[in-house]
Amino acid sequence: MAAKAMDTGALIEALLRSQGLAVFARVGEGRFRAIGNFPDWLAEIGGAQAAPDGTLQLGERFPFVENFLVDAEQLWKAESVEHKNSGLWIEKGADGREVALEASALWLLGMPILLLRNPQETFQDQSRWLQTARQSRLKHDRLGREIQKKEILLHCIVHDLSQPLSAMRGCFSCLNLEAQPGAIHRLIETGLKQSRVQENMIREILAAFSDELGGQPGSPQKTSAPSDIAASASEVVRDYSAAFADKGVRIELDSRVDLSRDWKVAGDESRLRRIFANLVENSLRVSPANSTVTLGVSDEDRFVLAYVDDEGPGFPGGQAPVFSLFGKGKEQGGKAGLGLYFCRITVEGWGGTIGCEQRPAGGARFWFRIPRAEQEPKSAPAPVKSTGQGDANLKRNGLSVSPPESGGHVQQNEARRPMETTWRPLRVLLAEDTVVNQELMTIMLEKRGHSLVAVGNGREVLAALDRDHFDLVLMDQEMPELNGTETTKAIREKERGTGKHLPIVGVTGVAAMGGREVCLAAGMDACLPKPFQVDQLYETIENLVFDPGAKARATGPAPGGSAVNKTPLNYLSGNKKFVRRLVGVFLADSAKRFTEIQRAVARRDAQKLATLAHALAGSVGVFDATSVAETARKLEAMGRSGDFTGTDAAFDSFAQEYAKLRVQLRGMVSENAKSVKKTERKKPRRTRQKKRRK
Amino acid sequence: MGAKAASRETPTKILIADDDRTTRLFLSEIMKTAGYAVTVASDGKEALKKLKKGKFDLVLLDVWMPNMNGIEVLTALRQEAAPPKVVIMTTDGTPETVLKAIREQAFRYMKKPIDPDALIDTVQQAIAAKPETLPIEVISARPTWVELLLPCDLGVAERVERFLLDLKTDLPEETRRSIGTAFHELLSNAVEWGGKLDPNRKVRISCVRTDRMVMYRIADPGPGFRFENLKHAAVSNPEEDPAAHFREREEMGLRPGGLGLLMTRQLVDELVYNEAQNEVLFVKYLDKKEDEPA
Amino acid sequence: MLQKKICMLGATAVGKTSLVRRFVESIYSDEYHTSVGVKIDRKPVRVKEKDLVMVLWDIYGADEFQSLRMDYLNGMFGYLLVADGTRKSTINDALTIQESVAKDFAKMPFVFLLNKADLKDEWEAGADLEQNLTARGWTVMHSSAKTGEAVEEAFHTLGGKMLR
Repeated sequence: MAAKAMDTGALIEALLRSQGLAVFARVGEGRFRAIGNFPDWLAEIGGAQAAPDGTLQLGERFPFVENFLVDAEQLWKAESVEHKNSGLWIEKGADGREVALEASALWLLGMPILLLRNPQETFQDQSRWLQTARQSRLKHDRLGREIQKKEILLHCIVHDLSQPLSAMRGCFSCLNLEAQPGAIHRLIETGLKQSRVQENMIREILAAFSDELGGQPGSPQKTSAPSDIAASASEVVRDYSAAFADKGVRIELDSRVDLSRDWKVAGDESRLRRIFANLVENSLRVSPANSTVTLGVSDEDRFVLAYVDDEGPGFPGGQAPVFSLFGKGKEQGGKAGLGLYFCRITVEGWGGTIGCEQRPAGGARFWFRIPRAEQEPKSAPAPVKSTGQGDANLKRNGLSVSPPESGGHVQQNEARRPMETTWRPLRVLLAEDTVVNQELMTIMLEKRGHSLVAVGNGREVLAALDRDHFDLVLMDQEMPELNGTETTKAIREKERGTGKHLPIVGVTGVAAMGGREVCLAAGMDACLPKPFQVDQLYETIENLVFDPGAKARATGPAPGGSAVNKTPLNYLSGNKKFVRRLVGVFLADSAKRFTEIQRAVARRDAQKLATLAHALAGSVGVFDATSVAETARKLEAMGRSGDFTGTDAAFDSFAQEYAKLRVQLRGMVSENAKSVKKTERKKPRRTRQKKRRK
Repeated sequence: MGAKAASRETPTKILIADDDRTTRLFLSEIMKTAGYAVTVASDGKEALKKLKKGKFDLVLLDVWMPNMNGIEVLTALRQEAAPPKVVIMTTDGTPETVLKAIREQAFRYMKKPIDPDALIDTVQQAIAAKPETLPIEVISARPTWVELLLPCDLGVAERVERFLLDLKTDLPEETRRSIGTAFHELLSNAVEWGGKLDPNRKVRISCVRTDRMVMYRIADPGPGFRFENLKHAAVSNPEEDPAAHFREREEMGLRPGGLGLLMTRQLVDELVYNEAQNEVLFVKYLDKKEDEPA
Repeated sequence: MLQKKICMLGATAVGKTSLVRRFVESIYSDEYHTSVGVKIDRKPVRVKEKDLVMVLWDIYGADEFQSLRMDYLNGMFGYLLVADGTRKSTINDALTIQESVAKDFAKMPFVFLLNKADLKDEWEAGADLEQNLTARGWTVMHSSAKTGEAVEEAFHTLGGKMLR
């Protein structure tokens, strides 16, 4: 058998064909001559027409190749040993199927070679993978948007649910202020109880289902604990380094941030992180590879400024995003929009502000500013370096300069101005934008005896304060134009340097985030969360103006309001004759008991003291004379224990309270309405002692 | 208007026993205005004498009276054939008094100063309650360990709930409320479901108080329940029909509610059932830090 | 015959391929087939009294899986910048692309399309965005490959710009 001579040429050709390679040699600009036979796929895509001289103008045949030839020519001119690939392009094959092609330019053996291949399998695999990957990505993005929408929706729903609840509560409370016959009163109590039940349900819903929102608003268990904003920023940087690295973008904490300083702010950790995360994700989207995103915080006295800087396109033409709510068919929205909205309501709920701006060097800065956490007054203030007159002046005005370590902030003590010792009707400025709530608060306050002026938003508050004098401002947090915290800040700003301090009470909603911290950080003196009890309202307001005993010392008009129904006696207030009789009986019996108690104290007769004091305490229950009852019970306790230390002093206070009660009761039954101001005597008038008949 | 006595031929007779004249006067006026016939007594002995002589429907008894205190009167009354319901009143909030009141089968225990509306409510309930007071057996009556055996009756359950709530007045309002609600739900379950509202069957309740926790244990006489069988509890509702349990309950003649198991878990710190699932134990810890800063 | 290369640029799944299909073949499919590689189509048009063949380069969208090769843009006379009006991120991507292109190709005419206008319910592009862009001199259109809205106008407008 004659051995077949190895026909290398034919073998190579067959090899090229089996691999689907079409080889061309460049013979002129854009002109090529085929080496070997054409592969099958070329016929499938319509072949290639040769010029009369047998050359093929591949650039004309394939526009994609024409584009590629620009780079190919360079390579051939340079006679480079490297080869260049064109990337895939698609031609239409038989039955419209997609034929994937790729061109390569080589310089081989002194010849400029152009290869055309049909990497069909690779193309099919790639298509499959990319299809799956991209579809997953789209689904993932869509789900992310859905989740965020739902969270915000939940928050809005809860917020809206709470509004009518507060109003209902308020209505019931106001009704309760009027003396009602038993049955109606009981119905009102039931209504109030049910509103409390609903309030608890709302809180429990939030607690159970809104873990994502973090630091549940209005939750009875948690209030927003202050947290370290710099630490949160660092953690977010850590969390996102992987995602950034993938895209080739750097993320870092601004090197100028001194982590050892106190960066505690009035906002809880998980939501702070959420805000940073939102802004960081935003920046990742716009940052080109090899750029850097920087997070940082800086000190701004009572506030901290936090920022996320990127090197992306910024806002060319001033097109800055608006942090508003997503709505169907409405203006702004989208995943970024929702995220920004969440950031905004959270930050504003904390009493801060949020915004964005173009960076001078290019890129954008998203920033937010929130108040520092309320400073805890130090129990033993460190000694202050004496600076002479300045300090004394401050001290006299109730202000103290805190030690240098805390940054030299001026802290305000509890007693800002002298508390009044006698109750009097206050002139209250009420700021509330909801009509229903305005009406309810007006009723409650007027019932108490205060006078008030009502306005609907922050601006009107400032205007009213300019015009008139008020003793106190009661302000709803959520108002249009200028909200509660902003108005407060404006008021305090105006007061700076004048030494004046207008008491301000803020009212916050059930679903309000931050709540108390926000109010206090803005400069308010107290905070009342809705829905509140009428008594809480009175207490909160009056504790800012009057010292604890003031109510008892009311000379002119006495505080009205909730005291009305509380007194058991008021239940029978309609029957004046009976009330007079009852008071008479009490005055007689208690006077006797009082004397006996006095004697028991003098003789240190423990058992008698206990029994008598107990009886008297019980007796005054009818008149709701809590101070008398309390002092009597103290004496009873001493009698029971047999320990007479401090008994004389205790008896004195008891005697004082008892005397006051007598005056009050006498005033109640006497024909004249005005109370008689007698010089208080320790001992009441001695009534003729009648022997009690068995 | 609702304060008037129910439509009866003869007005309801009430005895008020208190050693303080002012209180006697006040309370009788309230009861009289509400339409009841009132007699007064100024000490325990006088009260008992009058009770033995006349037919009273209800007695308001002050605890601390000379000659014979309220609890002693209560005990003596139990010897009588058809004793009237007794409401104990006192400024004394000690657990011992409350427990004694339970032991001697008082209907209710009210703290002074008495709220007139609450009093009228109580009186109405007492009068409307079944004539034979179902007895509550007191197995242990220490403030730190109360153990009771009570018949499966919702009225009795409510009485016990009120008494036990009064034992815990030193706890913060929040805690009391949570405990109260949880206890109410679980006890009602035990009475309804375990005891099938049969007053001959008994539910055993323990209420233990230590420095750091309050623990309640409720054992019902039933065979136990399976969660799968709890069609009447909200916990078993299919997702699309959150009110399904209401219908079930109606069909079973049970009281509206049934949110107990779901909510109860949230209200207390720990909740466990025994194997037969006819005994439940829940704990509320007390050493939590104060929630709100002062 | 005057031939001019036009590129379709934009993020993935914004509708570049669908727009070309609609313009060249008047067909549309809801199914999503991601583009791998470059597809080139020819479409003769008449713009400003002139006959022109648009050589449409449908380039795959750039994302984390594939990056755009700028050399594909060589020789183009204009491009359609496409974003998905229901996904805000694609608008940002479009802005980024436009910037990159503007660096290498000064004064390159283009038309910005907010595609998927038929999904107005899920629209995420705000009116102020458009205003800002228009103020900058951009031509912005709302298009829908599905309904055909503004597809012809988009290409013709671009054609007009290219012939200036």
